Amino acid sequence: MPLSDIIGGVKAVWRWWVWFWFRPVQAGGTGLMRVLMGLMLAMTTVDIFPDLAILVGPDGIFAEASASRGVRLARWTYFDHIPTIEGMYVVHGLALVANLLFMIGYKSRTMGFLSVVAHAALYQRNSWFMNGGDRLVREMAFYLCLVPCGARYSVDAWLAARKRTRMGLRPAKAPMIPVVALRLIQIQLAFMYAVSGIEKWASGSWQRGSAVYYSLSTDNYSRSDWMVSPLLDTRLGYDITQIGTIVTLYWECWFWALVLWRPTRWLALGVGVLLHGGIHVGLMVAFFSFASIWGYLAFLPYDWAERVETWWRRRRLERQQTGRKALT
Amino acid sequence: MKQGVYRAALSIFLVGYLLTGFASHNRKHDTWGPVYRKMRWMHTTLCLWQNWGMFAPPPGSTSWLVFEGTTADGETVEIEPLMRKVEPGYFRWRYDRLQKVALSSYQDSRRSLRKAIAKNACHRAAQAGTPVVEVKLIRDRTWSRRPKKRWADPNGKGRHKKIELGSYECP
Repeated sequence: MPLSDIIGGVKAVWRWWVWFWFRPVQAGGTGLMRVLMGLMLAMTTVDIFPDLAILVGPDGIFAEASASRGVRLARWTYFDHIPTIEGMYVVHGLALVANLLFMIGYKSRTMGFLSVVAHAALYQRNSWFMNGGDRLVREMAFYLCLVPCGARYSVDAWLAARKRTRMGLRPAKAPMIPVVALRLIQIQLAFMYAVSGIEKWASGSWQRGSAVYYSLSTDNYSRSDWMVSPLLDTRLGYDITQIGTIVTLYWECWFWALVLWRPTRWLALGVGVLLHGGIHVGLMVAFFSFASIWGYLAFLPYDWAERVETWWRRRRLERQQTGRKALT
Repeated sequence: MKQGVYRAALSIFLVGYLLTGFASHNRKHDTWGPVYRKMRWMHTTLCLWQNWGMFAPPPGSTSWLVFEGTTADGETVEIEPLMRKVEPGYFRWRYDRLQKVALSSYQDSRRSLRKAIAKNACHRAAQAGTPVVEVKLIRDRTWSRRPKKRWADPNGKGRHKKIELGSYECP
């Protein structure tokens, strides 16, 4: 094969790679996702405050032997180097400040990375109090930080616009950012459901249709005994849980295909919202449902936030015009 | 230039990250096993694990971790658990992370976690004014009943067992 053909092939692959991972898209959707992610990170940090001493404190629950071995790739956490609980409260408070600054979009990427580091430091100190929802939040926040997530709906964007105005420049066009963060979120969710579906497929309870019944039966995970008892105490209730089990199993296994094909995308996302809503109402899963539904925003048209903004502005203008007409 | 460096650096990261994610689910495979062992630092360092079992299999029982302390004069005392048993008619707003710790401690392989829990129980007992020299961890477990048994008697109780998870000396 001539060298020119090989080079041409490599160039074509690289063009596709750049299109897939780095093609510019409107920044509005990612900006709003940053706001919501910042809120989830802040809620997690606040949620941990009351139990901080026992979860990571000097007299708390953590692997002492691992901590004494010092900083390693597999374990780096500043909590190992803070000797007092007071110091830990201060550092955890600073993490909350970073979360809130990330949410409002001041030095967005830096604050995002700091938030991820703070979240990971808790995990490295004591991984046993965190669940899959926490992991999902950490991973998704990390993906957002790979792109200029503060390009819209942020203090950063407001400061940049003010600077342009002061310099006498025209307002900047709607900013575009690489699609890579949204792609990673899409792949993360599809991968998560596929892996979960495959593992569930191998489980007898999921095959027999009783998995949701047993999940709701345990007081360790159930949000409320009286809320789930109509489902557990009657034959009709059990039939409903069986349907829930089967729908969950097949939907998780095939989410990647359903969401890939445009005609079934809304179905996949709609079923996901219903399932995660049901999981959140019935089971204690921390931020798992919120983080999953948040991730669905990455599957919407990339300009969804701009479309909503345009619609809202037009509506406001129409209302103003109607008001003026009524006055005259 | 700046954009080129960004794309190249991120591309290298993406290839490594996605390969590690895929390899982590094929650890027993001849090719992917070594890839995972070489690359898993990407997951461990960044804490970006890709384990998504999520209720597969679902829990078949309710377990509460209880502590039994022994004082210096041999008396047995109860120590406040990480989370108290819920009473019938309960409703919870907030995810209880201490319960998550307790649930994680039941696996046989998690001896170091149980040791850490016991050490903390010793500390809390001393703070409460009842210092103990030894703490015993007990799993109070009640199995969920099969659907038909539950329909027949909604208020009945499932099989119940107390399982000793080990005794630990206080530091």
